[in-house]
Amino acid sequence: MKSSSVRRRARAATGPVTELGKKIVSQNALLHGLSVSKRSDPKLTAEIEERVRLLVGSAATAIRIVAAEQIAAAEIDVDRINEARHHLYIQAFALECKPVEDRRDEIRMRASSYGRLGGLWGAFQRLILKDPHATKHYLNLLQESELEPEIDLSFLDDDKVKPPENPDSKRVRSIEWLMPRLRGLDRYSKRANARYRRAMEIWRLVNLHSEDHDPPPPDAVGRSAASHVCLSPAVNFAEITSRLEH
Amino acid sequence: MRIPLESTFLFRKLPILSDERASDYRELVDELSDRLKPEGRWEWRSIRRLADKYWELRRLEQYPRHLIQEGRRTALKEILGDSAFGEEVSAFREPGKLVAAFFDGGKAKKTTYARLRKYGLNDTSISARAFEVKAGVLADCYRIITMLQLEISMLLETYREHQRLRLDSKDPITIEGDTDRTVLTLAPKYTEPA
Repeated sequence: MKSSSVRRRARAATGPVTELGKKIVSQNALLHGLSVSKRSDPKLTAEIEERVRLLVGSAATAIRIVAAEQIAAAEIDVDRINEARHHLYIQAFALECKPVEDRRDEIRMRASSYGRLGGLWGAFQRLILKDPHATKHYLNLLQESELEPEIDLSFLDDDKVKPPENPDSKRVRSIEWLMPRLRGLDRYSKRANARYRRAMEIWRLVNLHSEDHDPPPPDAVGRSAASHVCLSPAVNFAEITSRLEH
Repeated sequence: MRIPLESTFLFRKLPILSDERASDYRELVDELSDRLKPEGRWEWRSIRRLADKYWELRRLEQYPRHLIQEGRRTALKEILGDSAFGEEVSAFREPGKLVAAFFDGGKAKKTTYARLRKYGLNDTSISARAFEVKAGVLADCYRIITMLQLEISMLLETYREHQRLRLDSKDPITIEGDTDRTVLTLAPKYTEPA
């Protein structure tokens, strides 16, 4: 009953309709590359092989290799997500304490793109008001850039400049930027962790049974193991083991 | 425990931000390796992954404090800007400036508390409103913390399994304290903001 309603709703949801929506969605996979298959990347394939070697060590039997491969693949997934997360932390931290010197190019670029009058100063005002502590520095940069400050600088008067921000609010701004992005990675993380847990379950069972060189009975491996190695639970496990060993 | 030469490459690039100290991270790696006694590259790789997780956990443990501190400012501003206070406060000062003076301490703090008391409010009311203001981000933060703790316990389980296999023993290795206890002893406790 439930599955039919899920299917019905899935048929109704056909993704974005407008051209712009389709264009935006087409770039989703490029954001962090977490949906790319591991097998499509030769570097990752080599990485999996290396990890399998490390995991299995000298006790390498075919079934153990298959199980270790699942762990290695799941581990790589988890690592890729960690890397994406770390990238987000770096970006958030850069938002928080981007040194003024780093904005030199940004200011010059803005200056050149806005022209000398009108929009230029609007942009500068916005930039300066975002960071009142850097005001003096910006003014120096203006002089260096040989841009004549023929503008009304009254907006820099004490009573119009925002009060200095406390360090907490800077940190909080970056946390608020970071959290929804980390949450966006959540589903990848959950999926990878579930895969890792399944792989571990198989690994444990394989180790348990391979100690006396007896392949695990199909019932013991159960549904999760069978689904993970893409086999039906009805398949005879002993037969597969012998086939793999050959 | 000294990192063997074959595994040093794992610790070349550390996951630290510019306001964090590499020495703290190394201390954490030392602590983990002393407890878990890794051998071989796979186990050292696990140590690296565990250290990364603990490091992220420690970082995230700080965030609620910042969020609540900042939330208290917003909360107080909202309370003072409320219609009940509106007239009284505006006669004296703008709520924004009053909030800044309140958090700087001194006389403004006492007078604000006195004003709040008249309406049956106190410091806890500010904190409660702060939690309300930052509820969304805080919920995200705690969810990520829980996920990390789960990942850590999973990693420790894998590690234990691998070590058991390595030592070729049927009895599981007892890593000083069980999984949960290891998670709890290494992760710093959350301290309420003052």
